[in-house]
Amino acid sequence: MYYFKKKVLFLQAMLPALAMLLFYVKDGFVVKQENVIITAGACLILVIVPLIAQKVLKNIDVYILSLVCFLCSISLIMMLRLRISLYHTQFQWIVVGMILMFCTIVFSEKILRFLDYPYILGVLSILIIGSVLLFGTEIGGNRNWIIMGPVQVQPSEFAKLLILGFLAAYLQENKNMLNLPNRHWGFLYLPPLRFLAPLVTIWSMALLMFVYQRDLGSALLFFGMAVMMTYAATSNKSYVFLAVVFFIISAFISYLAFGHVRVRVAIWLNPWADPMGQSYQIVQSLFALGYGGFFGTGFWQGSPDIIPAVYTDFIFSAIGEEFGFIGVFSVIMAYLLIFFRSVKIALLCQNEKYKLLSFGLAGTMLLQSFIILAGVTKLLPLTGITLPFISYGGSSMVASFIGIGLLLAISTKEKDRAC
Amino acid sequence: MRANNNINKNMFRILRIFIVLFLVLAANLSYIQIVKSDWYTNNPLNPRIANKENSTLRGDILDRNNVKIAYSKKENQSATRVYPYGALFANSVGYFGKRIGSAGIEQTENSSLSGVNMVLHQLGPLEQLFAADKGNTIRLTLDEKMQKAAWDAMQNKRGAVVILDTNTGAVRAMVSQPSFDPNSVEKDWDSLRTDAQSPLLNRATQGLYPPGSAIKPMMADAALEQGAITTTERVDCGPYYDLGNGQKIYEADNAVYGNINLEEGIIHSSNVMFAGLAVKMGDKGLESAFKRFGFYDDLKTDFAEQKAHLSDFPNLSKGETAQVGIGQADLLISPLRMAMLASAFGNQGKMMKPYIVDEITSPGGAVIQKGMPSVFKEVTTADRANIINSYMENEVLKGTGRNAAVKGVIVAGKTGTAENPLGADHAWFIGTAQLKTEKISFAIILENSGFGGAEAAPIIRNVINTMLKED
Repeated sequence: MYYFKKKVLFLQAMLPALAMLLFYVKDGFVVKQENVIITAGACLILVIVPLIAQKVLKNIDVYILSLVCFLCSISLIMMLRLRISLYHTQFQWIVVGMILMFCTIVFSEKILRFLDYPYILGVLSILIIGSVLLFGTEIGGNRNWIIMGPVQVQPSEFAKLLILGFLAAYLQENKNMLNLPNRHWGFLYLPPLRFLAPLVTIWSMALLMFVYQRDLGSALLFFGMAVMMTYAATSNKSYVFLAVVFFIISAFISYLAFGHVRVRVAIWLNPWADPMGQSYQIVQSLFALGYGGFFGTGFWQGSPDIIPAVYTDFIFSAIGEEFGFIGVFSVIMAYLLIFFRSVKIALLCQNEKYKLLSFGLAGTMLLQSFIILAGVTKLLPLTGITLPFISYGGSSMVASFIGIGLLLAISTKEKDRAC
Repeated sequence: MRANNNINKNMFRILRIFIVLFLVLAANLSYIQIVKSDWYTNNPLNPRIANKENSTLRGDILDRNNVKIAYSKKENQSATRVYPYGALFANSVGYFGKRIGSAGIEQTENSSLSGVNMVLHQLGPLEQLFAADKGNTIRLTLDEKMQKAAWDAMQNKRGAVVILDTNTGAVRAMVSQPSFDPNSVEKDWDSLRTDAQSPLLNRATQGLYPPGSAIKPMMADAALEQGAITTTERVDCGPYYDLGNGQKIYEADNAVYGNINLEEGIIHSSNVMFAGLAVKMGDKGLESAFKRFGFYDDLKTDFAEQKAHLSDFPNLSKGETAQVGIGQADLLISPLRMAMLASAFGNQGKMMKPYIVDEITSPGGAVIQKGMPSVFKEVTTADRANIINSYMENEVLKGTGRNAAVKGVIVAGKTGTAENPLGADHAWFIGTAQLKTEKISFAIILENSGFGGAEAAPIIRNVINTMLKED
């Protein structure tokens, strides 16, 4: 088993090297030094990081890390293929992400102590999201960017982690209160309003993000995250019901009130009404996937560059075109397997806060993948969020690695205790 | 601990929901990528096929002697399609336009010429093993010299010439006039499209005309087959055929042929005789003849054709039935089908299926596809075919087709002068001729230009003379 694991690791790490070789074959062997160095570096870290993690940190879940490395290698070769300059920066972000992941693991003791002060986490995340609402700049249709000198940050990616921490801590502390059936309307059992306030705040924030920043993806993600965590902690279906009602009402109102919402829904319902205009992106995404078919066109043989924003939101369509159904299915399986391994970590946790946090981290990543994958395949209206570990982008990559760092830290901690 | 169990249970519930969500996602993906794959791939709004075609150099089109009729030339980044013969092959070979689409062989053989093969596309990445940077070369059955001879002989008159190899069905010439220059078709598009003379129409295969007397060889065959007449029987052909309701059918120049047999009926192209024979055979008899000669069947060959418009058998009045006998009523037939009709009598009753693609070769020289002669239909017996053919030979020797006669060459033919609502009569001439290397069958039509014998028959004489000189 261990032998097999190593083989798989080695193979996925060689993907960038193979891609680079192909690049030179196509380009007539005009070798650029920096490209070679980056490719060698990429191959090296993709093998060595899981191996080191396994050696240094006892009981670490090396499956999760290997699968993450697999997704990163897919990301790297797609960047190489789509735009070589992004290949360089994406590599840098992966390195930064991995370093921060190790830092998170090393300083996990201190970081996880914040779970004792849920309101600090809550206030911090409100501050971050509030600052985006006030100072946010629009890039690519979403007003969820903060520009600080040369650095562009998408704070919602990091706010996500804080909110997860807050939810885990708050729900664990108050779950008995939240289950106090002191008020009920019909089949709904609800606690006093003050216990509900934090949850309602998060929902409202999500709504605000959606309305004001047009960031439907993050809004949906935050909303789903809160519902998922509340249900996991309290087992109270009333919250789920309430959330769904809240969601439907707010969706209906925003449909009536805002033109851009109506446009999105119209594009979703009938993209063929304006295939070269408003629904160009989704139609081109479907063309890419359909053209790829079962086997795909082969690496570098398709034309995914036709799709706008193919590096970020639509990277999945590019994979679908060149690697076919087989390729996208394995990517989907990788996300599911990461989730399953993470749920195993959560199951083994004795500490309920850790349990909720690790489940939340895993569930959020899977939910995020689902929202964007459903969007680019026209299962749901299109929302602009990133595909974790694959889409181009520093904020997304770094935040995802920190999340994985927290997960791995919790797994080593709990296992150490059990031993 | 109990609470812990609850959380674990809830996590499993959520996990199950996720599994369902991702199953839906995978199902939707397989629908897009497997079930609807072809639809998305071939959607005209999907630029991928066009991109791929643009990235390969389009293949050449050659005549039967490997003379280049169309080729692509790469200049800077974009390739241009060159037609060295201009309008000569425009209607049969067609054109290749980026904005206006393509037509003719350029359209029907597009996947071969572009090198983009949808069957290979199904193989996925393995396609790259077979992909080439140039499309396949197509060699046609057309003969540039014969095409040129036919074009010149028409002297810019409106109409069409189709010449087939009688024994194989290979198309040797397919001329349609007026035509256009495929090199500048994109630039001239708006004026070509609205031109009342329809230069874009391939009259040889798509033009439908009343056949007039050119249909009489088939009528003679049907009359013999159905016993309406024998080869020795003589019929009294008075000055007209009386339809009984005050209408009469006269001979072309009001001639009176008197007591004649079937052979003389063909030689003089007697309307009175064939009107009478048609009425004698009746609607059902005529319908079975048209069925036997394949007019109801699709050609299913490597170029597009317009099927004949036939009369509404068996609901014709006596007058209409008589008109069918002399190729009028509402009959409309393409020159290609008329050439095929003539070929059957010159080929022991076997009508070969016409084809235009002789060979498709890959850039590496491998033969991908070879045009094979095949019998389209055995339309009549060898005996009857030989009898009718001999009548047609005599028509050229001493009848209405005298203008087609060439010394030392056996030519069989049948003239036609078709009345039509659009002006002067259409001139027809169909038949076969034994050249040195092969036996050709032909159909010539000149729109609104008068008598078939005077106008259409000399054209094949000129073509034969030109070909004799070439040899």
